[in-house]
Amino acid sequence: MNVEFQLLDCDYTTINNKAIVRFFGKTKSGKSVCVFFKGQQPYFYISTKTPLKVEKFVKEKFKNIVERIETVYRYDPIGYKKDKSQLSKLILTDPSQVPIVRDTLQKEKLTDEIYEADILFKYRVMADLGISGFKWIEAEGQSVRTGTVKADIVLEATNLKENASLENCDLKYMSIDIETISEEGVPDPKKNIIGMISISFFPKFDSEDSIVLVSKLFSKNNKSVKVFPDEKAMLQEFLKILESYDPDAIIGYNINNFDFPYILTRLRENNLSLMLGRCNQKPSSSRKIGSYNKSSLTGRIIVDAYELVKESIRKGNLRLKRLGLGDVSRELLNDTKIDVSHSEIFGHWHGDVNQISKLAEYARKDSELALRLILERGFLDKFFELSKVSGLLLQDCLDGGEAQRVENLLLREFNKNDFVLPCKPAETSSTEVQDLKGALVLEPKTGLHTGNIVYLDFKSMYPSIFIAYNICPTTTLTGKQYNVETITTPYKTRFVAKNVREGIMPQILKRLIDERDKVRAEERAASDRNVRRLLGAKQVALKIMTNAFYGYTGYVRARLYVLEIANTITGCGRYLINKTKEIIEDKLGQDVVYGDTDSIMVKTSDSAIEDAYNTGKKLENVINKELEGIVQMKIEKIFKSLLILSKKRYVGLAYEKFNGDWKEEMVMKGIETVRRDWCDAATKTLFEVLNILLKEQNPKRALNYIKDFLQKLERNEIPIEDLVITKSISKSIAAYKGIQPHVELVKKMRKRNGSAPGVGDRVSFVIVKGMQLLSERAEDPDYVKNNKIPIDSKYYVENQILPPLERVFEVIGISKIELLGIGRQTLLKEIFGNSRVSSNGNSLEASLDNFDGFACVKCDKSYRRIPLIGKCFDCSGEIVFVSSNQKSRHVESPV
Amino acid sequence: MEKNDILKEFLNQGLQVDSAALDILMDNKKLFEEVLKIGGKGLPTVITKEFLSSLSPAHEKISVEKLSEIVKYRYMFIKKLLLDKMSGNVISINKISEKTKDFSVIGLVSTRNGNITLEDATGKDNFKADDESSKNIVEDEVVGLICSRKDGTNHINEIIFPDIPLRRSFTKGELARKAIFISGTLDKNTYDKLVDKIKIEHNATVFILGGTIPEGELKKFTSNTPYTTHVYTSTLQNHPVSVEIDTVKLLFLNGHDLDYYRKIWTDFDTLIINLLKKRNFHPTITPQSYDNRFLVETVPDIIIITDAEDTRDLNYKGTTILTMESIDKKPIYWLINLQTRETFKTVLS
Repeated sequence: MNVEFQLLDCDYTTINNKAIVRFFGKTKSGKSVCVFFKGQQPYFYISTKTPLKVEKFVKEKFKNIVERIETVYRYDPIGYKKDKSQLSKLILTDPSQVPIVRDTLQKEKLTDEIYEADILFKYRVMADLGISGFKWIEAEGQSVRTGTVKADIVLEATNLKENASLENCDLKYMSIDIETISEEGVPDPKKNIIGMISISFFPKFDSEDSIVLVSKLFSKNNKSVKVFPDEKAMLQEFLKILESYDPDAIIGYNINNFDFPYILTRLRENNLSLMLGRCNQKPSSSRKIGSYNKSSLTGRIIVDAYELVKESIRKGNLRLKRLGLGDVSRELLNDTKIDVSHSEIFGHWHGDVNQISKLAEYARKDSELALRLILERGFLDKFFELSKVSGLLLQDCLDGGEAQRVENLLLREFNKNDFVLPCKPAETSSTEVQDLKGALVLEPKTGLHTGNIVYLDFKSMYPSIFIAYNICPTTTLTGKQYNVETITTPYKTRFVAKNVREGIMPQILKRLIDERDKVRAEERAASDRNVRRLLGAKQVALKIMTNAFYGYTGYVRARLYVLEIANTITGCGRYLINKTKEIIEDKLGQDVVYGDTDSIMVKTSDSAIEDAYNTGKKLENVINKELEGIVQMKIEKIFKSLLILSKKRYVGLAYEKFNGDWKEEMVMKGIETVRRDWCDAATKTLFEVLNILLKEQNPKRALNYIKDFLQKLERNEIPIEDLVITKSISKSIAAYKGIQPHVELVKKMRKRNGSAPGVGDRVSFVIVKGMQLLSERAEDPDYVKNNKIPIDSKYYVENQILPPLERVFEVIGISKIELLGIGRQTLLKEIFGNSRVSSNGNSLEASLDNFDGFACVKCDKSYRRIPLIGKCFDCSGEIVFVSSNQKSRHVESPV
Repeated sequence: MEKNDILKEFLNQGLQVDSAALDILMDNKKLFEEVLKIGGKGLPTVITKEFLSSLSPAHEKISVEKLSEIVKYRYMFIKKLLLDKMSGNVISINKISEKTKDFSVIGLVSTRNGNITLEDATGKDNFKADDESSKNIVEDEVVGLICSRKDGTNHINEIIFPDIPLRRSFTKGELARKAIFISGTLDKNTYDKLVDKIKIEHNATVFILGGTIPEGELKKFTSNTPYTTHVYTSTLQNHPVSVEIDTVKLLFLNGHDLDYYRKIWTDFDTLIINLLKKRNFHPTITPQSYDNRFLVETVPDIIIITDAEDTRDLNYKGTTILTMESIDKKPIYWLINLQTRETFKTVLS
């Protein structure tokens, strides 16, 4: 029998002390598969000066554990050595015994070095069989009947083979959200029951998109709201649905840290089964690792939408101010949660039918939103491909870091080339990175650059350096002088030449870069949207993997942490940037305004973008000729205008050529545009100012815009919604030490009408005018509106609006004083160089000492005071001051 | 200069400093020393940015736009209040046409010569009012008019003033604190009497408005009145001044600020209440008063008017209004229990 499936998970079980590997997956037709594979044994290597003594010791001590010891020859992983070393390969029966044997040998001082004794057995087997996570596998074998696993097809394979199909199978997604019932504070899973579990499905389950399970008989049962007499009965139904629907992925928003561990505890408290995965013998678990929980569910994956959103923000792919499900959904799905605050849940639960129904719909919406975030925003696409490229299982790709992905790739390549990998450094060793020298950042020419600026960057600079200088732990020359051909890098480190031994890392990187080029070309050529999406995700995954190598060599917890290599890479990078600057400035006479790590910005004298592009092309050609064989430079974009604030902080209006057309985009680096403690007005004003500066290249208008905004703020004309600041209550009010605005407001609200946000809620507040401390002047926006309490505009100006803007204006020569409108007008004139003149050509700029009234410049009509419309009622002419027949736009008065 | 050092220095002298002035002083040590040199006598109760500006009369160019913003601001502020009170068909002035029948408008009074000319951001128009109803309207104030149009003339049926809210919460101090208000300079004799009186008042804040106590007596004053927590003593420059104690909002006015309106309302009580109804103690704009200082944006709980004709109390929709003559004319001061809002007129005898 043959079965083709896409790999989702892999683990092993032991029968009679022998390991059986289990591959869980999904067929194209949507059937769940579990493939057993026998015959794989765990092993590791040691180098020892006394192999016979080791053999004797092992035979005595680990008679039934170590099956045999083989003498093998492998290359050392770090430092070039012409010949292989003799190693002892210990082959065991049970993978769980590996750490015991390893530690004992170490304790007995029988080894010089131990290699690969900490490779997870599933990855050892996958590497040996050449199988990667989430790839398609063809299994050949016999169908078996077993009660140990839950799968549509169970097979004992005799042969496994990977296939390169691009498409992914249709996974079944089940999104869950629980509502716990606690009167106050953070719910305690040992005490507080789960009131509701909402479950959303894709595809549908029993023709329903979602079901809410309620542990209270508050109304009649229906298909989408099922009621139960107590929590236990509800949890039993949940288990039934899980088994019946048999999802591949369980989704939730903050599911790893809340919903999943909470459900497990409640199942335990109710003496119910914890077998939520596809194995009937292995209970699901949630382990705390540092500050987060790692969930484990055999045969399925757990997807935490919250973690993925956070990751996207960290990587700069998303700009979001708040991370609550409601806020994120509003931004990404144009939809939001049902309006029930966290502190209201308890009240609703004990309320009438309508309130409980509302709570059920609220819960339903939460699970729906989490599901939609994952499916509609394609958050998993990248991880599917990363799993395929790195070979890691999908769950580990979602949970783990880059080092784990790189190491899995290295394990396969090292073993293929007869190298062994060292074990990971001990946890207790210092995490301090010593002497790792960074990249070169050229001193920027700050200010607003309004000519066309060409942005050039080196294509995969650090990976190219690995390849160009054959940099790898396996090629580095450490101390001993070998009579071999070597390459000396600009950083003065030496590696053996490619023809002596091509490094493993350069080999992998070359393959990844070539593959990415190929995939990008295919992506551009693809007409099918779905194929383009898959190829897009693949090229992103390849890029992530390619760029992870430099960081890996400088990561102290890496198996192949070689500081000298990390320093060589950055050293070469610095050399190349300096060299490029030299070529551009000295040889080509162009002006470099900024450069950072692998990119350089050159100011051209071209007024048309196309001309600037051609200039950039010329630069590209010259640089590439000079640096041939090392790195390749290419034009990335043209900045029509560029505002450089400082090193690593700039914003520009960029044009990128895309299929022959220019695509406009605002590029921001290092400039904070969203912060959780900013009100919306702060973000909006910053964006608007940058827009005006870059698109209109008009600092004066930007200044006027801000002045106008500040005046509106002063006059209470800014919608209060734009001034709202939010902060969440993370613990009980009594537990807060010190005075914080949102906490003080909650106290005030409780005193006022009893109802106030509680633990887990976000508190929205505005700062109002008053003589008290700032923290005592936080007020509920609705209360402010209803009672027409004036906003403390000064607070907003000083703490919200101006801080992000000050630096922007400062680099274009406008001080804070001028932003506030208290600077002298002459200074503004100096900056903008345009003095205003009256319509008839006479200057109205000479100030008067005082004034009697006003008059229209055009029709001379006199006014006692300025008309409300600010201009002449009769002819719409400009109004000016009048004093004894003299007119002016200004009067001088003491400040 | 550290913020706390400045605040401490002023508090020792019984003075307050507002946040804008504090910012300036933090960056300008010289100015801070200059202020200290002036000492208690010459300093206002609350040191403001305006007061500091008066010490260093640098000149600033004031533009027409800036003054225009002031006018627009007061229009927008009062308009918001009026919109809440006028539920009817409020239209812009340029929308009044031959077809318009019953309508309401909100605008700034341009002129009031029998008829009223009202302007808004779209234009201006004339409105016919009877003498009785228009007598309380002053130039440049913002009002709402409920009108009907007949034979091409806009007839005013009712005039709506912004006023202060009727049912607002009655603010009381959280602590059993008392406030004592004295207008004018105390001579040695009156001062000694005052100290004797105040000795029995626990936890009081003493405001000596528009005056001082005998030189060098401040420290003695504090030590002689062990339960008195604060003494603010100085001239009321740049009035009006708003102060908040224990959430009770106080507004200090000088009686002479209201002189402009004494021609219109001879009865002082009517004058104060009418201006309070306009939410502006100086609605008429003159070249000397191009500002919104007198705009009542926050409704005060207590208004203290010094240099008044007599010493009396008044209550309007929950706001306590206390007027007082200078203590050298009549040895009387006001004491308010901020927690109960009871007022006591106390004679120093």
